[in-house]
Amino acid sequence: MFRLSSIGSHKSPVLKLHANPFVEGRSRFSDRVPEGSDLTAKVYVRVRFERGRDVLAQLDTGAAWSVLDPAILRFLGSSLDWLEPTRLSTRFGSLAGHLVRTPITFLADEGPSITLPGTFFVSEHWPSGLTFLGYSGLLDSMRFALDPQANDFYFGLPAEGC
Amino acid sequence: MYHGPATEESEDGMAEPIKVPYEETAEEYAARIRDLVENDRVGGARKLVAEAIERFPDHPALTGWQKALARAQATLSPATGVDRSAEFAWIQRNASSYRGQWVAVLGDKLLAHAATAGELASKLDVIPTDVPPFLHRIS
Repeated sequence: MFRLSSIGSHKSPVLKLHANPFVEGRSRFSDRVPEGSDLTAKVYVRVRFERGRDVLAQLDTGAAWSVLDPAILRFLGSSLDWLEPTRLSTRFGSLAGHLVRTPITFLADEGPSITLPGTFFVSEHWPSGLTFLGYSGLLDSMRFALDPQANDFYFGLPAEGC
Repeated sequence: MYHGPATEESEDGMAEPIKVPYEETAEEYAARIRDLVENDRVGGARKLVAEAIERFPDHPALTGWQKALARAQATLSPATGVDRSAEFAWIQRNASSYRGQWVAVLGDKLLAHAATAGELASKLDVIPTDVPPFLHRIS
């Protein structure tokens, strides 16, 4: 069972599981984009890419891969690592693109933020303005939990040895 | 896919099957890995890339897949989150004037706007700020 620890010191875990530390970071997520007309609530978290580029990205635990808005590439510098050309099935059809790796930071309002080199699919055919955070090579490399009533996104490093 | 001759002559003149172990090449491994990735079978792709790398360490056809399929190493970051309530409020108030554009907003101030992310990035390069602005494409 999850329990909230007292808020304050960055050293104490924010969230515990069976009395053991689970994650130490927390941020407030948005359930819609600021100007959005989408009536269905989603989970948008604040992330930072290289060179201090802060954007909203949609959490999508059901997606096998993260998808990077191709426009974000314009904001990035030398840290972008082009990996393999591939083709993925998306909501916009089967798209040709590349798997790339670039650092992404999950920004915490409480506790420490975390950075990881995330693997993203990027395609010039993907519409601008949408970045999705999917499972493989990103969310499966960290711990996270959601409190939908409070719009809190908890996150942290994975358990040691994982 | 050629697996060698199917039979050979035995002493009694009868054809017998030959067991020729098939050696998959690094490129064939890579093709199979790509196929698994493109079908969202990431677990299978990870197992296959591990097997392939064991046979072909550092092979250029496989190292990219090895990297793409590896779990990322997360580390704590000194970066701190910024309350973006003011930025979100600015976007809500002004969205109608910037439809289809990228905006960079800090607090309740618009730092720059542009039709493309590339243009916005160029503008931001000459606008130093202590706190990173919030970037958003207004749909």
